[in-house]
Amino acid sequence: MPVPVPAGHGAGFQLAPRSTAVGHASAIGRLRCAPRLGARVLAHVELFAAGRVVPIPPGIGVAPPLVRRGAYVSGGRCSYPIRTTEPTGLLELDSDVHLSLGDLFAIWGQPLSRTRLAAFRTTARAPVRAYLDGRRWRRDPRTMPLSAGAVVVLEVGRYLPPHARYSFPRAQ
Amino acid sequence: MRAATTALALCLVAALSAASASRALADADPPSDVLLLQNVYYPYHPKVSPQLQAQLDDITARARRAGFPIKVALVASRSDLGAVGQLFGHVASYASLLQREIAYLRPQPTLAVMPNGYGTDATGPQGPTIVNRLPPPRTVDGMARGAITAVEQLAAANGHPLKTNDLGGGRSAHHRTSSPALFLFAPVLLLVLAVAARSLLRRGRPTQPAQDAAGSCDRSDDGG
Repeated sequence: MPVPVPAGHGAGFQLAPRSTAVGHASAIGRLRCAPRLGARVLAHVELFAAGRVVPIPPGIGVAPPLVRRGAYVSGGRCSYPIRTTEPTGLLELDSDVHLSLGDLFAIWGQPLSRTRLAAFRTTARAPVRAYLDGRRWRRDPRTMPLSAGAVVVLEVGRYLPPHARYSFPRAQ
Repeated sequence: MRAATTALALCLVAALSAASASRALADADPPSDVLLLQNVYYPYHPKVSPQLQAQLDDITARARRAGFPIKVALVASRSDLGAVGQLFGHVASYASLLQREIAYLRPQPTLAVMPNGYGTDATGPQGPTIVNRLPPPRTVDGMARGAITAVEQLAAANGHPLKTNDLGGGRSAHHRTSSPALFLFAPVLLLVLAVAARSLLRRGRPTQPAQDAAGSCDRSDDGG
């Protein structure tokens, strides 16, 4: 039986989907906001802090005005090569761009390093734990590649056994 | 004998630790994330018909207003369960897991629906009996229809009966939502009526020159 992990509430767990740059549809490094072009592939990322889920908002990488439908974002002015349209941690990736976890956090406007996971800080002695397909990633978490079918887990604080597999829906 | 007992205890502890470490991590299931933001999780594929979505959204909203804030997950395939695909087909177990994932401060009434049946958690002592009486749905639309029936019956069993005559139409909800609108527009309506009444009263009086200049249509009407 899997372990239930409740979602966190309060400061640090309620994160906005976009940075100032995305709000202006500005370029973020080599990543540009463009009308949807090319094929998209799916990956999944899950964040945990202090033994709780850090919800990943829909609308990361989508420039406003967002078109919302309940918990989902169905459109916007333009979108970046990484985006989320639902609050499940499902990432839509441009298949023709080499992307990393650092790119996701740069577009999101949240910090990521060995000692920082979004609003949560830790020490070098107990660093952010990163897992790719269930295996520990010991390098800088920002360098982790994001590609089709990648299953990413990031944790800070209490250890939770990371999942290695995820049943992806068909790409929309 | 004592050494053997100690060894057995150590083996048991080791086995339990290993089992604990090998447990898959949950909360990478889409319904637990979506249900934090809305009352119903709909499957990726196939899609539930828009009419049934509207009906299920409506009845869960009405149940919430009536004091029974139930959350519903329609799970049509393993991809709706993300990292806990092994629970596909185990609807009662999944309902229990989901309830513990999404509950905040108090138990969260939860209904899970899969093609093989229904599961509930925190829906009162009659919850499992109620949903076990329902036939397994064969299609996603059947899952939505069954969920509508289940929500209605679970709400009633928990002392929050919902009107059944508008099941699907959601008229009672619209009536409720129209009441505040009526309150909002009532002053505007009164103002319009007052202006119209004043205008009618003025027609009985001799017109002022300035008003004549702006009111040629009125005069021609009068002349007709």
